[in-house]
Amino acid sequence: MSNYFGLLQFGLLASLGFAVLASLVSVAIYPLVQQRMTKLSPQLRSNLLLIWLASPALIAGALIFLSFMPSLFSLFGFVPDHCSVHDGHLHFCFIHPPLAINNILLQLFLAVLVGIAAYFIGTSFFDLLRAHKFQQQLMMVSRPHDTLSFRVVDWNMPMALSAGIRRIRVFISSQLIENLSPTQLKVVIAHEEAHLRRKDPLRHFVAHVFSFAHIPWLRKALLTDFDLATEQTCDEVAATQVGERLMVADTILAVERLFMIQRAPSMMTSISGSNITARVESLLAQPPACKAISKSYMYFLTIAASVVVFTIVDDIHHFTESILQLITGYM
Amino acid sequence: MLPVKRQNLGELEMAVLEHLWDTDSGNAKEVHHCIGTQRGISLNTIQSTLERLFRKELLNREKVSHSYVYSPSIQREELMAQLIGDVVKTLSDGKTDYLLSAFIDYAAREDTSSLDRLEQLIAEHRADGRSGKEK
Repeated sequence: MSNYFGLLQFGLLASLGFAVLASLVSVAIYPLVQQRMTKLSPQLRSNLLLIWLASPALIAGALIFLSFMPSLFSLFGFVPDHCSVHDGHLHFCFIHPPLAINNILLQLFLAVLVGIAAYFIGTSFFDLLRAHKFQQQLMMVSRPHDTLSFRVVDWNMPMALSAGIRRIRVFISSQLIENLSPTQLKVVIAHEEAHLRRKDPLRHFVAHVFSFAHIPWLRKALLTDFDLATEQTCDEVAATQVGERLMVADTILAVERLFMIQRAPSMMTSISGSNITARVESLLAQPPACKAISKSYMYFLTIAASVVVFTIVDDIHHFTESILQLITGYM
Repeated sequence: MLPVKRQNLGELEMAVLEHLWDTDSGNAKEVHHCIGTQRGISLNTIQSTLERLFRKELLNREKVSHSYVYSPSIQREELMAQLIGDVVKTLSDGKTDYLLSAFIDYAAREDTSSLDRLEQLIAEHRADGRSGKEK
């Protein structure tokens, strides 16, 4: 009789195993490459960090998919079913799904795992709703600027931010507009519009949601570095548009000074601390060299990766089966 | 100040309120003429928007002849102050700060000596740049 519940249980267990493995590898590697990554262009660094943050989830998903591939090939008739070759072994397969786990401790462990996953999905969903509501609040207190493509919030605090997930908008406070010079305002708008074009609120959401499997201290470090790389990317865009890197550095300090003049307290609890020094120092340094990766090189890499994957797909499948059998003592 | 229920106001509702703040009062036809026509919105939509704002206690109304004449029950500044208060509250709880991309981090302030040092560095770079050009 088909027992896809067992397959689901083993799939969850294997996903957790792969995610933990990926996060342990991350812990070992990141401190070694963290310093080197600061030499990369902010845009490349921000993209790499986003992938790194999501890597446990991505790797677990990819390895589970690859582990299922041999049985998917058999199911669709591309290759003959191979399960008879290793009878009496746990089959991580759609054709001969394994029986459900009957060990109470493992069942409890899986239930806790599902609970934690549900908690993360639930809180992320509520965060999205909160963010949507916050954008609505900002929409209510703002009006479109007469000539430029942002919304003005009549507020006596220096505020400039991009908010929204589906439709991102830039909001700048009237106080900031009044206190900055036209060039400084141009810098702020260019910086925020860069966030808008890059869909940074969405990227931050992805980074937070899919990084849950990382070891907490590494996750915090990765998120802090990702935040900095994102801001530096937008600073670089603003510097290119305004044509003067020092003006961008000037503007960052001017806005921070405005906060101090207003005696504005920190509005939120920061996880990363201020990144102003790093941003200004980066703008004072030489612009980072940004080497574009050629398309042919990317095609070559894709083809090479596909060949490697197809070569080792059976090994991954058997590795997953062996490890699951070892963990669960499945017979 | 009138207590305003915590509520969300749509774009059209805000536009209607803005119009009534400017004109002090108006009936559905007048509001439709000023706001609805240019937006391609029917008179019925304007009527239901006015009705919603009345139920939210943001408008007063008085029957004159066969139609209601609406006027704001709250001043623009009062409503904005309360809505800004909501924005600050949301910013302060920090629960969704990662979904915002702010020009300057609202959560952490740099100390004055750091800012002075950075300004000094910028000034030196400017001076170097000028002297480089003069050479």
